[in-house]
Amino acid sequence: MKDVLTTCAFCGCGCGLYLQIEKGYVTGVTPSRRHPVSRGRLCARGWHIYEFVHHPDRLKKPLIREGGAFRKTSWREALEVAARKIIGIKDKYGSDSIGVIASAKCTNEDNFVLMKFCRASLGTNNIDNGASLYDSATCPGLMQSLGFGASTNSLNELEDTEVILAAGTDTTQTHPQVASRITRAVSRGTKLIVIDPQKTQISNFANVHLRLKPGTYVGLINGLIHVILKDRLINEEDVFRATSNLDSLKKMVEKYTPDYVAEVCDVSGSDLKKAARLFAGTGRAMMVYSTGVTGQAAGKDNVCALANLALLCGHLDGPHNGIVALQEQNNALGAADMGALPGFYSGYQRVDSETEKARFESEWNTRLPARPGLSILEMLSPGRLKALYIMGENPLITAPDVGLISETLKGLEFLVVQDIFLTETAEFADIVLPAASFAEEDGTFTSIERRVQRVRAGVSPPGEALPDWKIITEVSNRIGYRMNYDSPVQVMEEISHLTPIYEGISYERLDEEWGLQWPCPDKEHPGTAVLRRDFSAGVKITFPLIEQNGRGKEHFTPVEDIPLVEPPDEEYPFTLTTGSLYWHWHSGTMTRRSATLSREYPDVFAAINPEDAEQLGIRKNQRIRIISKRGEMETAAMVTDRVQVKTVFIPQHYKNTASKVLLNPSNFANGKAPEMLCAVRIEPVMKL
Amino acid sequence: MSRYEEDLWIITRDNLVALMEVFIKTREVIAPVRGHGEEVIFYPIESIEDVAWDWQYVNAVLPPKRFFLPQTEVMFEYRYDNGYKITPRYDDRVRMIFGIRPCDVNALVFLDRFFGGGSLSKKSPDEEPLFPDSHYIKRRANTFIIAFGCHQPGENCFCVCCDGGPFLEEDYDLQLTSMNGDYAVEVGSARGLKIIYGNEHFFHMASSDEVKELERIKEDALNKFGDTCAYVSKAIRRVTEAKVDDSLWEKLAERCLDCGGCSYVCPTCCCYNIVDIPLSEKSGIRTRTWDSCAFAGFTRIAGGEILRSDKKDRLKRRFFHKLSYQYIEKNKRHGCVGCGRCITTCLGDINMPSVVEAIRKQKVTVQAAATLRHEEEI
Repeated sequence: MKDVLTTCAFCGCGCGLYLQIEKGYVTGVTPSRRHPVSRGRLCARGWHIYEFVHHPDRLKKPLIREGGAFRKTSWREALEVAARKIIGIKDKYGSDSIGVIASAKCTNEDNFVLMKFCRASLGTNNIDNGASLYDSATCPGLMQSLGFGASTNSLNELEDTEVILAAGTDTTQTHPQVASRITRAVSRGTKLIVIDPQKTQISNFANVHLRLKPGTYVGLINGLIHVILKDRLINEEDVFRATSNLDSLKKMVEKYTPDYVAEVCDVSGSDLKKAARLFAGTGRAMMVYSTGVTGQAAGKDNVCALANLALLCGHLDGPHNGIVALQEQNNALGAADMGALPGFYSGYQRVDSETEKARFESEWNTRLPARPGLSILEMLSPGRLKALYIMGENPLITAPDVGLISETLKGLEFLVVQDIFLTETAEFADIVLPAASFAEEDGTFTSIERRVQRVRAGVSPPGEALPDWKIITEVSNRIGYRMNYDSPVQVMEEISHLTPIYEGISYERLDEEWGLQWPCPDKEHPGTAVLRRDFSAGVKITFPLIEQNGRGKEHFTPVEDIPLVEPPDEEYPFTLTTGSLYWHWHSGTMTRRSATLSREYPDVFAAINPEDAEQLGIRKNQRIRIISKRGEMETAAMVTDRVQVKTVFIPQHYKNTASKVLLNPSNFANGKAPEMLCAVRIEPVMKL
Repeated sequence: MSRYEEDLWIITRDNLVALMEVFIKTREVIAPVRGHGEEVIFYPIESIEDVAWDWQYVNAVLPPKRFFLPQTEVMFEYRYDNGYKITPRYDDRVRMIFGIRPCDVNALVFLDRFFGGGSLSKKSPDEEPLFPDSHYIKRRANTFIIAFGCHQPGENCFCVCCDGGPFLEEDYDLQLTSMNGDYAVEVGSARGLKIIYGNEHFFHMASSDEVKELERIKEDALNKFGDTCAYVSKAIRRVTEAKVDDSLWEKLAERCLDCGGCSYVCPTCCCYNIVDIPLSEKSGIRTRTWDSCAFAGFTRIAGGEILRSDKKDRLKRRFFHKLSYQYIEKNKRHGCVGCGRCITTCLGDINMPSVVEAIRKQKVTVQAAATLRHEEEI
């Protein structure tokens, strides 16, 4: 028996934990006490992360579709059929008829190899990762303003800042380590501003809770900016010197008066002013936000608005002063870092840049496509593609509109899914390839604080399952593009060779430390806890968009508020919101198979406000029907004042949720973030 | 002093290393080892090189509880084939825990009473266990205990307030205490004495000066703890007399993140859940896993109702169980040994010392007094 130190895979915080191993089984976990994130602490998900690992449902052999059912098969047959079909489709319809969905749950190495497979072997840039469904806004939003699409600061800095602004994040549910730091900060005197339609556990501690109407973040944040400028809470001259585009921001926020905000967001002028004074009146403030902000058609605008606010108040400057983007999936950042994005190679190097493309072409010995590929939503739109290769993602649960996604999957000529369980998505596949879980694989994850950390195998994969990177190389070799890696160490060598922000990262160094925070441009570089635009000074790393914006300054991106895609009306008076529960994670594939975690909320429910419940004659646990323009679902009612009047919250993790049946897919076509909000009406199934 | 054997022995560090090497060859030796970044965890060692010595650690993140009650264990396999066939899975390994701290040993004695009804402890052999837990009992009986006395409390230690340490008076096989570069060896059981006699060339009898020196070390150690013991007794009294106002639990509940870590790292917590995992249509395994009163699902009953759905009720229950006299009477001690692990592990910074402190400071309110009167009338 030996305990194996690894990185938790159940959110983006990146806790260090030991897997307890007994005779080839993981029998428990121990939190790492010295690890800078876990510090001897884990959340309920972390404590039970091992429970799914040996579940009897794990895929142990490749499956091949035969008629309506799956037949277990050998690796040899599965790989040969997969390669043959892919070659056939490529020859018949061209490379761009194939798409690849990478996983924000898999390791950096898996994602890098898949990215290479997509671009070099298939010859298309149609690759995106699952996190784009939620957190797609962070990357472009922050990139546009700051020059890089990631958190500027580290988690531990939250404890020593003076003001924390938490927007659209039920942090205790999604990122317990962050919530823990917020609670601790507050007990040390830090002021807390919460912007969220819902009451959350951290809003109990808030000095101001701006309980805005769902989906009206831009209006509210512009309102804050308006007040800050109008009341001269900051020194405008200084801001003007340090940034670009302040003038157009000023002009744009003129209309966002407290009265306007009161009307659009339903937030009182006095609360707005209080929050503005708190946030602008300190030298040290940090911002955290999560899917409440990003999971909206206007998600990118929301992020830009937040960045504007931070920039205006000088809160992007040094330690305890910055933005932490709380991405939900454990390796959301890593997947993007590795180039599992339609327009970027690893390290945000552009596919449409001749020099960067040329470098990858010469290293990989092949021609690469120059045009950016399709986003995940475009790939999942019916009829866009002929074949899809999906690694470790379950869009049927995580993307809006189940009906539309099933139509897409059914319409494909060929679908390969590699995963650890037969997911709802995998049930549509022609070939299912059994993959190793985080407990069975060596590699790295990159956390929300840009910390690249080791994942270490504690046990062997079940049956014939293989690590994802290994499976991809086998397919690639059969397609005719050679990939020879003996181990993930070699993949990391290639990553650091080709990726300036990872250049100083090696397994050796990661093993010595508690990971390294990128950018880490050379072997001596200690990693970067606090990232600033001027990082590039003196080293060869450049952040592309900063240069594009010119002047090397942080840039204001004025954004106007836009109405919800589907605002509530007389017929559908409620706003449906979705989100995560503490006890489940993502599509629930793993947590629903964990006895302890799934016991808390075994079934889906819909949370409504007591006032609405009374009006509609609905009692606790009563069956209710929720109806949108697109469909309806039945579930049990939870009556709680955590949700606002005239809103209903349905968690996203369940197979039978069908909450996604209700959601509006209207953004699919233009490739924007899906809107996790829509208008519904509620009625009891049986009137009591 | 209730040592099994009054004589005090001395072993040099070199001899201790040599003795451990003998043990490693003949049984599974569980010891504190230095993990990544010098942090200490308990696990079976392959070489004496791996061991973290007593001056290198105060205690590990997790107590050695997991070697007696693993976070997950298979209890038995079942098969249905013209009737049920149950095959228990026992862990028969001969083991030794080296370097366990007195608080954790006291916690094991607490667990003994729960799983074995006291049959494993000398304190109350009269109690016949109602449901002896053969899995626990087998592991416990097969494990030899070499404890390390503590002369330097760690930053979170408060064992002196909880009768958990810093030295053991009984319930060990051997207790080692660092003394002038060597170790004083106290013998706590017949099998402890057998080890000494079986390896006599490693030990020598302590001189009367050395006996006095050990006494001095023990007294010194006690003085290094702050004088906070009275608070725990006051908390016990107030909890027992229901004089703690609910507002305190409400306040704490705002900080609790339901992680269950308090139970998992607590060396005396031993609630578990039973999960049957079918492996085929006719067979499967029954497993048990750690559970925690911090989870709402812990009190889920048939029909889906949850008895303690409010976080404040769960917290209240937890500390009531740890501190109330009705449990102290049953368990022969209160449910905290002062190891301080909850201080490290709680995401909301709720822990035994902070709760005890909050209880002490809280004014007894009209409501709490009324509850008390009401209960007395009943």
